[in-house]
Amino acid sequence: MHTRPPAERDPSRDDARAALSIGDLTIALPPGGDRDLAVDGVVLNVAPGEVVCLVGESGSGKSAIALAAMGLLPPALRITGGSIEVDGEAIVGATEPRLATLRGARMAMVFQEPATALNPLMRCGAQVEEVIAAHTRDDAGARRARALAALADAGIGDPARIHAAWPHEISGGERQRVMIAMAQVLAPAVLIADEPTSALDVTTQAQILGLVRRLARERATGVLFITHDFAVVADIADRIVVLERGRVVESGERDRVLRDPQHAATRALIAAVPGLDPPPRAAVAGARIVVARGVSKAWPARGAWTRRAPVIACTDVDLELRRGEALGLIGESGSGKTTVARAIARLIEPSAGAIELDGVDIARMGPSALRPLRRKLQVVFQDPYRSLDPRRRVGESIVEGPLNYGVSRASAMARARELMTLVHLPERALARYPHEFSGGQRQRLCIARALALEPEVLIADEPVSALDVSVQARVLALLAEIRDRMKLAMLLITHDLRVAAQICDRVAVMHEGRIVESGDTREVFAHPVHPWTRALFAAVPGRGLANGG
Amino acid sequence: MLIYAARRVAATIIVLAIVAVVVFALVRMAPGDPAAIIAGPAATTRDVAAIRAELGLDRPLVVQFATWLAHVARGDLGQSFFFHQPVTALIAARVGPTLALALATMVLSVLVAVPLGAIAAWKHGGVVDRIVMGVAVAGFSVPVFVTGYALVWWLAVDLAWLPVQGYQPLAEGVAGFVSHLVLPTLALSVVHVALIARITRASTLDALSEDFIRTARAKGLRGPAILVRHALRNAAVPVVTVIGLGFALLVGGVVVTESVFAIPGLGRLTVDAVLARDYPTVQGVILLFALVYVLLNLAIDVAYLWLDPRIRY
Repeated sequence: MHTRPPAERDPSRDDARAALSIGDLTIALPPGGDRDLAVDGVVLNVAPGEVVCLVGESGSGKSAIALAAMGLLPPALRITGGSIEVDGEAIVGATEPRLATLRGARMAMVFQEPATALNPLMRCGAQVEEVIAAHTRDDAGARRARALAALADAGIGDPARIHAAWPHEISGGERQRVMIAMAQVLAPAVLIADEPTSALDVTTQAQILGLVRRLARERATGVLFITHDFAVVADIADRIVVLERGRVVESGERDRVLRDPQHAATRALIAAVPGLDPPPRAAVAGARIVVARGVSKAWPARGAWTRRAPVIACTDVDLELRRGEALGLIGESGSGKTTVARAIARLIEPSAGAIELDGVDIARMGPSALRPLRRKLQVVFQDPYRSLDPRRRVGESIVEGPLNYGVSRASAMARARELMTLVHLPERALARYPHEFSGGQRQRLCIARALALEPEVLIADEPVSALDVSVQARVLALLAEIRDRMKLAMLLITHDLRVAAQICDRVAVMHEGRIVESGDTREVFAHPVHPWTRALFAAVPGRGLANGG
Repeated sequence: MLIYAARRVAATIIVLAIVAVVVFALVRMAPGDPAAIIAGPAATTRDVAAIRAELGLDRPLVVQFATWLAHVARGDLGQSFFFHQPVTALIAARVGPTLALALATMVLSVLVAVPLGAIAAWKHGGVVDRIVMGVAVAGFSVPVFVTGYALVWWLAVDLAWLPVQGYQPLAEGVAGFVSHLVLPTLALSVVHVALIARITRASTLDALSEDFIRTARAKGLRGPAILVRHALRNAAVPVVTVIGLGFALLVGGVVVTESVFAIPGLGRLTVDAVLARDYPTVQGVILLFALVYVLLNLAIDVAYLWLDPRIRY
C-alpha cells in the first residue's frame, strides 16, 4: 500500500462529519413528463469510509441524485429545494468555477460504461494525470509517479503498461480500474459510483466490487454506490437507501434491510434477483434438432500482407440441442460463446466441424442453399435499443421476415397480432415506433420478430443483460413460456449464472474457446467440477441473499 | 505501415496514368487547331501544315501520346506551343503566386473557422452560434467574384488601403507581397471559413455529447480544457478531411480569383493555355493538379493515423 498522497483534503478532517450530506433534496423534471419531480425530498448521508447503496429501478431518480451531488445535472433538471454538502462544502448554489475546483479533488465519479467514459484519443496515464494537473502544482515527474501509484492502487498489476496504453488496447475491467484510479488519485472525500459494474463480467465485477470496498476503508472515502441489482447491494453495502419514483421509501443497515425489508418496492427489488438454485426439471425427450461436432473458428489476422498468427475464437466445440430444450452457453466475454452461436446460426462460416440443423449439415452451405433453412433458426440479440429499426413501425419490422419468405401481407399481419398476445403486448403496439417502448417491451418485440418466422431453434444472445433486474425476470419467464408452448429448442448465451439457472435444462461452460464443462443445470450448479466453473460461481454477487441459492 | 505507403504510391501512379490518358484525349477533342491559332488569320493552309509538322501534330495520336508519356516519365512536360518555353519552366514561374494564395487562404480560414465552429458548438443555440451559422450560410452562398469585387471596391477603391490587383513576389519586399495578397485571400477565404466552421461545429457538437466529456467535467476540468483537449481532438477527423479537400479545390480553383485580381499564377496560365490550344501546357498543368489532389488525399489519410490511434491501415 502506498502512503496517502499529500492532502488535497484536510488530514485532520473531523471523521464524524458526513462525507456527503443530502438534505431534503428536490429536483424538478421538465413539464410534460410522467411526474413533476425527479427527486422528491431525499435525505441521505454517507459517512467517511462507508458504502451506501442507492437502489432503485431505471427512472427512480438515482442518477439525478448522483449528478446533482457532482454539480453536473443537465440544464433540463433543476434543483428546486434542499441542500447537498460534500465534506462540509455546499454544492447547491455553488458557482461553476468553485464546483470545478471540487470535482475530481473532493468528489469524484465512476460511470457505468468504461468503454465510452474514457477519451479514446488520450493514453490512459495522461487521463489520470489530467486530474492531478487540474488540481495541484505537481510537475510532470510527480504527476507520473502519482498516476502510476493510483493505477497500482486500483489493482493494476502492470501500471507502466496501462499508463502508456490507449483505452481501446485494454480490457473492460482494466478500463474501469483506470476510471477508479482517476477518481481516487486525489483521495476525494466522496466517490460516486453509478452502476460501475453492470457492463462487466461476473468475475471482473467481483474484483471491482472488492476494490471499491477496500479503497473506501483504507482511505476513509465515503462511497455512494448506485445500482438496480440487489445481488450487488448484498455484497458491497454498509447501508441501503431504496428509491421509488424519486422518493426514499426505505433505508437502513444492510443486514436489516435484506433480512426484513419493510417496503413493497424493496421486497420487489430483492425478489427480482433470480435464484442461483435451478428448479427441478423433467428431462427433455424431444428429437435432436441441432448437432454441432468439432466446431472451430479462427479469424485470420488482419492485413493480407502481414504474417501473424490467426485469432482462435473457439476450438472443437460439441453441442446438442433437442426440441423443447433450453441449453445455456455460459462464459465471460472473449470466451467464444458468441462465436459458437453465430456459427450455429451460420452468420459466420466455421473453420472446421459439422453443424446439423434438422439432419442437414449447414456448416459449409452457400448463401442460396442456406436461405430456405434460415427461417428455422432465429436470433434475439443483446441490445433491444439498437436491434429494432427506429424509423419503422414495429409491425413492419415483425412482418418483414415472413414477407421475404412469400407469406401474404394479410396473414403475416394476422400472425403478428397473435404474437403480440403471446409476448403480452397489446395489438395496437404494432402501429407504434420502437422509441415509444421501454427496454423490456422492446426485447419482447424482438422476441416476437424472431418468432414471426415460426422457427424451430431460437438463439438468444444475452437477451436480458441490457435490462433492469426486475424486467429481466419477466423477459426470462416469457422465454420459458414460449419454449414450453411452442416446443422450441433454445440456445441461451449468457455470462450470468442466475439467468442460466432460471430457464436452462442443460448448461455448457466455455473458457478460452473450449467447452470445459457441461451437463444438467442442477447437476452442474450443485457440483461444479472444472476450476473455471468454480471460479465463476465464486464470483456471482449476492450469494448471501435469501434467494441466492 | 511501409506496405501501406508502398500501396498508396502504386495507386498514385495508376491514378496519374489514367488522368494522363483522359487529359490527352480531352484537349484533342476540343474544337480548335493550335497550328491555326499560331499561324494567325492570314496564314495559308501550307503554313498551317508546316507548323503542324513542326509541333509533331501530324503524327498518329498513339505516337504523340507515347512520346509525351515517355517525356513525362523523365520529368519533361514538353515545350509550350504558345510561350515557346519548356512547360516545367512555365509552371515553376507561376507556382509561387498560386501556392502563396492557397496557403494564405487555408491558414486564414482554419485560424478563423475552427475557433468559430468550436465556440458555436460550445454555446449551441445561443446568440454566437446563430450569428456564426447565419454568416456561414451567407458566405457559402455568395460567389467568389462577387465578394472579390465588393472587397476591391471597399478596401482598394473607396478606402485605398490596398492595391486593386496584381502580385509582387516575396523577394521584392514583404510589405508589397502581403498587401497584394490580402484582398484575394479575403475573397477566397469566405467560402472556406463558412464550410470549415460548419463542419467544426457539427463535429464538435457530436463529440460534446460523448460520455468522456462528462468524465472530463467530473474531473474538474474547466471549459476551455474540455473543449480543446477532449471535444475538438475527437471532432478533428471530419474537419481535417474538409480542410484537405478545401486545399485541393483551392489549388485547382484559383482560375477565377487569379483572373479577378490579375495574379500571374497557375490559374491564369491554365486559361491562357486553353485559349491558345497549347496542348503541352494544358496537359502539364492538369497533371500537376491531379498530383496535388492525390498527395493531399494521402496527407489526409496520414493525418487520420496521427489523430486517432484506433485507425490502422
